[in-house]
Amino acid sequence: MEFLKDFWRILREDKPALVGGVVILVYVLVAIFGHFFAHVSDLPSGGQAYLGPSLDHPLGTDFLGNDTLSEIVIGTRPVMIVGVVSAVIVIFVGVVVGLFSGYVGGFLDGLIMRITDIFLTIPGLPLIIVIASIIHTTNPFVLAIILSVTAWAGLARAVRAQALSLRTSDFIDAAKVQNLPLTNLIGRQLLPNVGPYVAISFLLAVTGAIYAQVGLFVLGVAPVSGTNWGIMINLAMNQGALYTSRSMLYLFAPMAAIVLLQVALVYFSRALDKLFNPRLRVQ
Amino acid sequence: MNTHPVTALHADASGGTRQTAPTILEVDEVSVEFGRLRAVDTVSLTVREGDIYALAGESGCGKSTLAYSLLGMVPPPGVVATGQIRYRGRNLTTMDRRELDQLRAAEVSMVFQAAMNAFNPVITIGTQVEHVLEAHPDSFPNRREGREYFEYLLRLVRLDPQTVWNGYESRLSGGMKQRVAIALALLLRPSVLVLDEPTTALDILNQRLVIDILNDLHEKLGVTIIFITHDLALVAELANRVAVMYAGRLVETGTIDEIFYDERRHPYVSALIRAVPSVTADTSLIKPIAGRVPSLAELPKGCRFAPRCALAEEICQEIDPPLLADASGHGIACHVVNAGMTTKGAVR
Amino acid sequence: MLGYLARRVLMALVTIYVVVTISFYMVRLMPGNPMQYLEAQLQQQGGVSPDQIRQQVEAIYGVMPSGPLWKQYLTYVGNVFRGDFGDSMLNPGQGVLSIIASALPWTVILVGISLIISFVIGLVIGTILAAYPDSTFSKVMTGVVSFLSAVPNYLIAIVLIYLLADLNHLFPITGAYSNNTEPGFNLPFIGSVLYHAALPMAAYVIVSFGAWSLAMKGSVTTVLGADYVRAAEARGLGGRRVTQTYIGRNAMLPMITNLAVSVGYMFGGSVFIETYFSYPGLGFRLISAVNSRDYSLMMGCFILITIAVVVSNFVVDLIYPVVDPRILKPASRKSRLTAPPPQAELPGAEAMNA
Repeated sequence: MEFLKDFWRILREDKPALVGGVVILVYVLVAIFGHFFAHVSDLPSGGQAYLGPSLDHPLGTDFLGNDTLSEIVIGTRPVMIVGVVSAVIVIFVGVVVGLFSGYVGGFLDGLIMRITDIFLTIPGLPLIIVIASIIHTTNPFVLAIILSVTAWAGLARAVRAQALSLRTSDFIDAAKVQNLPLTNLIGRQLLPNVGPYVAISFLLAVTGAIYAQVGLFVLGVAPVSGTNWGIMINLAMNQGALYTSRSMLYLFAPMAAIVLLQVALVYFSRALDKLFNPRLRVQ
Repeated sequence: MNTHPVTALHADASGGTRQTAPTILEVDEVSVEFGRLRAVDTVSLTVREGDIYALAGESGCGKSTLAYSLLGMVPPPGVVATGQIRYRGRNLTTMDRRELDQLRAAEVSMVFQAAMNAFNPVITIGTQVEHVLEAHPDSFPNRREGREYFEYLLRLVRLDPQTVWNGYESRLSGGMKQRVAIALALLLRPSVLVLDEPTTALDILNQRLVIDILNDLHEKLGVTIIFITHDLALVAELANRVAVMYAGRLVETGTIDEIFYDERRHPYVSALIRAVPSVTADTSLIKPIAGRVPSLAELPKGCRFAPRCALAEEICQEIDPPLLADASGHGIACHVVNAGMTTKGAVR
Repeated sequence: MLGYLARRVLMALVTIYVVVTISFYMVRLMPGNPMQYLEAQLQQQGGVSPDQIRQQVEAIYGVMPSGPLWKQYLTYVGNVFRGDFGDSMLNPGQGVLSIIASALPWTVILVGISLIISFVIGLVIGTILAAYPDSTFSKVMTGVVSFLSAVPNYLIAIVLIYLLADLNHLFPITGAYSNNTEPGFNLPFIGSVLYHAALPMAAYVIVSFGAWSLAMKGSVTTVLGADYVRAAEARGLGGRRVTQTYIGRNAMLPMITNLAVSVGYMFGGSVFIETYFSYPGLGFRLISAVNSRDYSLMMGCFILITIAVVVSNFVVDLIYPVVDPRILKPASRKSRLTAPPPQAELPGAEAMNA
């Protein structure tokens, strides 16, 4: 409870972080409930293309005459799912590998770290692009796995470093003396200590995943189907949106949606950072 | 049987410099302010050449701040608001950066707490020593001689010159680093050496070593030593003159004998001495001091120690007692103890 | 020192080997096996004998399509280490390696110069932010920079294209140089190269300088508060000496680590920007290979990008002990990645910089 009160106070002081948190909440709600309020079809709806903003169409229309705002709303869910699932995978793998390796030490630790280093060195984006182009998938979970393939390595390294330093702490010795099982040691002793770092890494992993997946869609590397922001931008560019100024709204709306979410995530993670790292609060 | 722990060590303490030794450092009504707070409040004291002078007190009493001001190094936003600090007659508080740079290390030198890292971690110790020689070309026009003298000093502090010169600070233990810092501080043959908590953060063996080394250096090099500490036992071991501070004010000054043996003593100092635990004495003799040091933002009117003082009277709540000294220079700031002393006999 | 080097060399070789293996298996084992696809295509075209089909596939992929897997594998690995990546599917007869070799310098120019520019800008701004944390400049700049570093680079690229190239025709958006200049070390050519590279570089710099600034600010702030800086002042070392050797050098160290790490990432990082600007670098080649299903070119690009990353990292590992002597001491062995984190260190952001 102390924790939450602290957190609330930090949020109140750090306005951008508070706004960020609210924005994230809004996006999550839209992702979950958006489908009830907005509809999008692939066929021309008889409306006019590239209309400017109006009461009927607050963000104008796309090249097929569909309402842009609806498209953005609908597009939120797939993006968020992939983002969150990918971050979960990254965190899970990274933390488990890191804690295990750091705690166990010795030869096994060395081996795991070498492997981690390899994953760390292989350039993530090109690999993702290559894999995504070979496995043509529209399944968001598969996509999330692909996105996570190298991102976990950095986290694993950092967590391992923390585990290494914690390994020799007194409370670990105390736990060992009580013969607590390994799962308890890792799960209930070490984990809470790396918790803060992991929480922040989670948010940033979401940021990274959104960046990567939207990038893939915009490039056309991931298959174009369904509606999401990246696809909107892709279609916009392919339909020549860059060459007329009438389409500015259609082009910029999804971009704004992306940027807003990314910025919100980054600012909010800063509040988390301050929460766990009191020294930063003096700011 | 004298079972008071501290004084038992010094059954035959001699000490004190002859009154005739010249004044080398004079603190004249100095106050150091951080915004509206006075960390050091109108303090005056006199250090004579050859003294081993202890500046004692609890954490936060202002002793470190005062020590830093002796080198013109009060950390911002602190400023020396009143008074002068005179080294051999020259006023430090009005010097500019260049003059201070010449003064530091060559005339007045400082050794930081052992817990602090005095050495740049990515350059060798030797390089850092050369930086010092380079910054003060007048001291050692011939660098070679400078290096040789440093090696001599290293041996005085019981370290092997070869290991130290080409190594990085990470290679040295805490105690070793502290000794290298002392050697470096003495390189340019300063007249005054200031040490901030020289033995805190060191283990017992290293503490003993540092104390022996300091005594040794004092004898061999004749340097005046000023050290800051909260450890009364260290004061008893090392110092010949003492100044005790409380909440930014000076409460007592005198020779080591006067502080520990005189009946005339500030209540705070008495309480401090009683509070030092002894291996041999009966535990009932240990009395911690009740209450807490006042925050600088909420200082009591009148004597700052009054709220915790057993001897406090009405006047103590009203007026901050001035430091009054007797004929031999033993000064105490307490109305009750000084009762009967007229301001005519008062000498700073 | 020698042990350190040997370990690094070994890791580099192992990494490359792993990547080659991954490429091999990806082409063959993933759903929609491209080789079989190609075979089927050629068969459908008709008029080509099975032998010829096999020859073509072999020429393109560098490996016989039939035969036991392990044999194919060995041949492939052998080929790669000899520099033979097969031929590009869409440009048969043109070796993948030669295509990539001509693309590599463009990427190096683009990302290399952008990296240096953003690094330098970041250093300057970061130092100012650390030295004057309460000034208006600091507050505004910190806000701007925090915002910019959260924006994906391709979006900025699109905005730049839209505003500056399409609507206002201020800058070109395709190619590395004008068609009517002669390649070579002459002024018109170099001028043209720079002109064409300006927008992509701008996109890159706008997004990156923020992270560098914040990293530098953090580093300088840490050092400014360090004990050894005060100790140096207490020894009467002049302002210049303290600033250069005690503050500057120590603050720069983690920055150089990061610069070094970024050099490795730069080869993979240009993908988006090169594609939008049709700038013929490695990233561009990779994407066009992807879009045209030119698998051998794609694999070749990927392997070569990785090799570039590995080699850069290795060179950095060679240089770093010179800069920070602590790295060689076994007791205080610091992993590069535990240096004070700029955005690049955190896992999600790793993908961002990649």
